[in-house]
Amino acid sequence: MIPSIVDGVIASSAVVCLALAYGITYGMLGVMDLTLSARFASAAFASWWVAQTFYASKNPVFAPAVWIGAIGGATILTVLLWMAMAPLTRRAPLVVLIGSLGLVTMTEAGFQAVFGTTAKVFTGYPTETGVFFMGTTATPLQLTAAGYAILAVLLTAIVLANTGFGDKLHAIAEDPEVARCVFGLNVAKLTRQAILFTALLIGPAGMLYAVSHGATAVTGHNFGLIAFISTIVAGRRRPLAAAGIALVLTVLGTVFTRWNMAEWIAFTTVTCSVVIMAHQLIQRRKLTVRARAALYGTALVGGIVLAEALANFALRTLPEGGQSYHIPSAYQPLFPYLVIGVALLWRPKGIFADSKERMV
Amino acid sequence: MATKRDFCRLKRTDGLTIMVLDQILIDWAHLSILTLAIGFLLHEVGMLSLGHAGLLLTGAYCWALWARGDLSLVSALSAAAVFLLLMALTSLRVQDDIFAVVTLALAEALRFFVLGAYELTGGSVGLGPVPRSDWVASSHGAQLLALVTGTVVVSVAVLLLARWPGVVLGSIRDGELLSQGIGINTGLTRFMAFALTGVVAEVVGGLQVAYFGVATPQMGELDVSLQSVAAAMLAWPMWRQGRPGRSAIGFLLGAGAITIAPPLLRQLIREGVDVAVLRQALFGALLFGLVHPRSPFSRLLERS
Repeated sequence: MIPSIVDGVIASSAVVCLALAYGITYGMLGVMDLTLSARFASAAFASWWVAQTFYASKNPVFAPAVWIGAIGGATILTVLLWMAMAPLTRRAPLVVLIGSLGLVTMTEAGFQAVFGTTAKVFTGYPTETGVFFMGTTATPLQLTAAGYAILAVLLTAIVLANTGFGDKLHAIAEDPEVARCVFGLNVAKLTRQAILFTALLIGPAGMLYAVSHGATAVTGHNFGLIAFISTIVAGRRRPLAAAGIALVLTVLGTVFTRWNMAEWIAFTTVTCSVVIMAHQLIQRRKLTVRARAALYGTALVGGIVLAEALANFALRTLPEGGQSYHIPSAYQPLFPYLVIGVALLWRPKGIFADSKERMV
Repeated sequence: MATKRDFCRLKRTDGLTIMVLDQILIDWAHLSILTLAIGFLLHEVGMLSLGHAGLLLTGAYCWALWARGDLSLVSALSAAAVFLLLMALTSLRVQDDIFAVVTLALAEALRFFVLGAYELTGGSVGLGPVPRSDWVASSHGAQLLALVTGTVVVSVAVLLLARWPGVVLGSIRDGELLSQGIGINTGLTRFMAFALTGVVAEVVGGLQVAYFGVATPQMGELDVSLQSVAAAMLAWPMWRQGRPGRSAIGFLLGAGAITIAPPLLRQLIREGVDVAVLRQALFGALLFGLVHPRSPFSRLLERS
């Protein structure tokens, strides 16, 4: 049970970075910009081009120029797309949404025209042997990607909590008009800086993803929607919570088809009970968002550990059919959307939204 | 490279051309009906749904399962109603731009479900061949069915939107709090609007299966919804509050423009350029141009 969860955590690095970026652009700035997946793809292609041109026989992860190329590719496309998008942000959010969908379609066609439809593979990336890690096996590249995702989360947390730039972003997120008129902030400039910061976050993530999966015109599109929905489920002004939700969704998506009946029964009974009890406790007390997030996280981890113990016990007592039954793997992509549906029915304003906040 | 004149010279005596023209006509009819649903929801209620393609997919598979005898008529209709209800109840918990994204996510969920349940739906290959009469499978049958469906949809729209329901929807669109203040049940009204247009989308799915004889997951892709949204936005100059007939003509013209563009491009540019990529780029540019404040499209829409 726990090795499957570790697998999911390792696989979630790209979607976590994208969710962080969406948490900043939509969650904090209120810009419904769906072009982040296109920027992710641009980082993948730029890093592939640098790697194939200058380091065709070298592991691209150890070439700093490839990392710079990824950030450069993401930054260039970010600047170009933002130049096109900026006039739309003065209009209704639906206008931004449709405009960004149009830009995504154009960018995808552009990538197909330039790079073709086949996946671009990093020929210099060697065959790596797996490393045994917490009951599962992961490649060094996967661990690097997971490490980068943790770094990105920490960097975002530090920037938002401990810098003047973060304070200004929080002020804009609360009310852009007040931020401009009362505090005298240059909202347009700060928005540009925040958008560039997201390019810095997703550039290396795009490169690390492309090294293992190859670069295509639709790289990032498949989990871009999950990342964006994570922002909605987390609630406005919660980029770190968005990353957390994206992580949970990816992990649940990974274990969805791997767990057998005993593990599912243990998870749904024990883990969900513990989380619901924690929720009841949180509802009764006035806690800060950080305290709530910490309590939810602790309840989830504690519930999983308890469920693991119960599953081990149940495996010995359940009949053979119950032990071996797995949900067909074809349903795997469906699971995050089911969770999203339940989360929206439960708390449409976002799980971590303040009770008085009217997000929608 | 073929010129415009070459395209105009094509005569209906060419069997292939007749087939292509028939196909264009049927595609136009199906897209028009879907655009009527999405367009009325967008312009009358102010709700942008990107998930109607998912409902179209539901209708297609329910029709296919019923026609193949896997489900009874009552079960197929119930399944279609349940999926519609699930989508409505979930997506109507949120509003505005979030509503658009949530409907898109739910449509993707439906598509993934269809892909996953391969024993029931045939997975990525699709469900087919669907048994149906020769007349329904013929071009003339499909055109007539689409015409009848379109006429019914427009008639219902005229009956509803030219009278007080149209005013109620308009009041919700222009100020929800105000309309709540004068006693309108906005939640129920929005649900009814979404459900009615959802039924239309499901019927379009059924029509497509009746003609093509196969239900595939590609019917529920985002592009299908985007085409209808683009057609509905192109029809914006024709839209007037309380004038659904005029709006319907706009939707027909918008859908026609979206339908005719790809085959026209194929005729005009035959060599040298990957037409599918070019078409995708042009469609993206059209979508972007429709909303960009400095684009000629947008200026035209604003002036009107």
